[in-house]
Amino acid sequence: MTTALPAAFQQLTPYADKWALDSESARRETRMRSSQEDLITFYEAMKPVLDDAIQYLNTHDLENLPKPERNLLNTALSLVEVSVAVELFHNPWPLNAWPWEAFSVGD
Amino acid sequence: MGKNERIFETKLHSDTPEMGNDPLPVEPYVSKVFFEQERENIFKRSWLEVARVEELPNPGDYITIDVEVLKTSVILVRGEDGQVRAFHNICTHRGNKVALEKQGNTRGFTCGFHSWVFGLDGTLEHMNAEEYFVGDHNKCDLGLIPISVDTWKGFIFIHAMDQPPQTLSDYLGGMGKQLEPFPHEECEHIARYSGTPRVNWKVAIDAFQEAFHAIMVHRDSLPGAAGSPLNPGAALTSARFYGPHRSLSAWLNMEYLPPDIGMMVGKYGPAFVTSHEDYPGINPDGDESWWFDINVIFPNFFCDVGPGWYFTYNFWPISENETRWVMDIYQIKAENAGALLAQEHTKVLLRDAVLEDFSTLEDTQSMMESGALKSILASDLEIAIRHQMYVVNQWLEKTA
Repeated sequence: MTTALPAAFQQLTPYADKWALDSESARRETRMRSSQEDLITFYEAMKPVLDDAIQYLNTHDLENLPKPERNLLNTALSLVEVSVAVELFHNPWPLNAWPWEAFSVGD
Repeated sequence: MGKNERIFETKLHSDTPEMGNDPLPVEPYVSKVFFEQERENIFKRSWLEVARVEELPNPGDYITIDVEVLKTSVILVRGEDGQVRAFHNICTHRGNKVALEKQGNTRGFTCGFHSWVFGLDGTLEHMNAEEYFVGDHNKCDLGLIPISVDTWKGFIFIHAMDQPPQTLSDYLGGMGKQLEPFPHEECEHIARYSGTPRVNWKVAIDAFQEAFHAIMVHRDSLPGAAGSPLNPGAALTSARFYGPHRSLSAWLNMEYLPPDIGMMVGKYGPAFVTSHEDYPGINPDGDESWWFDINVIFPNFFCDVGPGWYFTYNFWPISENETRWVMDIYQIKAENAGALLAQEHTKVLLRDAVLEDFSTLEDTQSMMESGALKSILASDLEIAIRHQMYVVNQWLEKTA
């Protein structure tokens, strides 16, 4: 499976294949079931282009994003989801916390 | 052993009630008898927030809500006349539920037992086999049983009494006036989280109405945000008491550096950890180093506000040691991708931070139930906990 991305962001395709997810619960579930190494690899690959991606996406109408742009946005949303695991918890899920599975997330 | 000098003091208003300094008894957090008194004297006598008007935009829109503490299921429905009404979700024939879905749009409610049909205004429109019901009854009296309902700034509240002693506006008093300028109606719903921990409702509420815990509980998610050498106990910057309600302003360490991605997306829209600008209905005392306001509407509803966002908690007691908790997050509508990513950071960080808040609840509850401890200590950093218990006791005495 290859996930379509805007031309300037083709290098993110291997990550978009896993992370271009269109709901918070899917992004959260994928984060929690990934290894920390995988989260760090994705984080380090996308963080340097996040600002470029936002500036590019901000030139588009959010309500009518073409599929490649939508995939890029969903991958960026996943980066936000993953960032707290990499930057704060140093683990996919919060360690000093209630079990994440006990918490229901409505989309 | 001497005590350290207090470096930071919470600003308290002159109307702070005299609540004393005694330890708080454990009994009210573990007792089944006490819980039954709370059900009768608090939850059946106060306005309870159940939904927002945006959840029912059109005539015929309805939602059903389990209100365990009132032992009922409530239907909220918008009529053809645009008015929102609340009913017990019960057929007046033999007691079956008439609405089985969580939400929907309908022209009326048909009981799945014997197909009696009720209109959006509760009227019994079709009494199936009416000719066989020969007893002394009047079809006009067999409509759905109404529940008192009122709205404030788009928040829908119900009241278990047919004639509530106060209007919702009077009940909210100064708390409502403080929040009045906040543009709740301009915000959109961006997240709902829920969980049902094995914990007394007051233990759960108490974990969310002080900032002292943040130093320890949020050491991973919000390191250094709530306390610093300037405010080592993470004292609130200010607190206001409005009858049974209270408003608490949390202090933010201005040296705190939000995590990288939070900073990056925070440039493009309001986010929990990055936005400090002025906004209507927040920071009522104009505090410096202000973070956000925790607004507790007695008995079980929170409406916490910041610049461009607010979130709510409903703590629904199920029993003396089980509580259903629901969190909703709202923000000014994201106009572009950058603002949407800032929203996402707010959601994710709040969601995971709340998971940390939950880490202590069940352990606290089970150990309180051991009976080993007869009372707990509430410091001046935890004045809201003292106030909640003070008000609970007032209500139990007032109506005993």
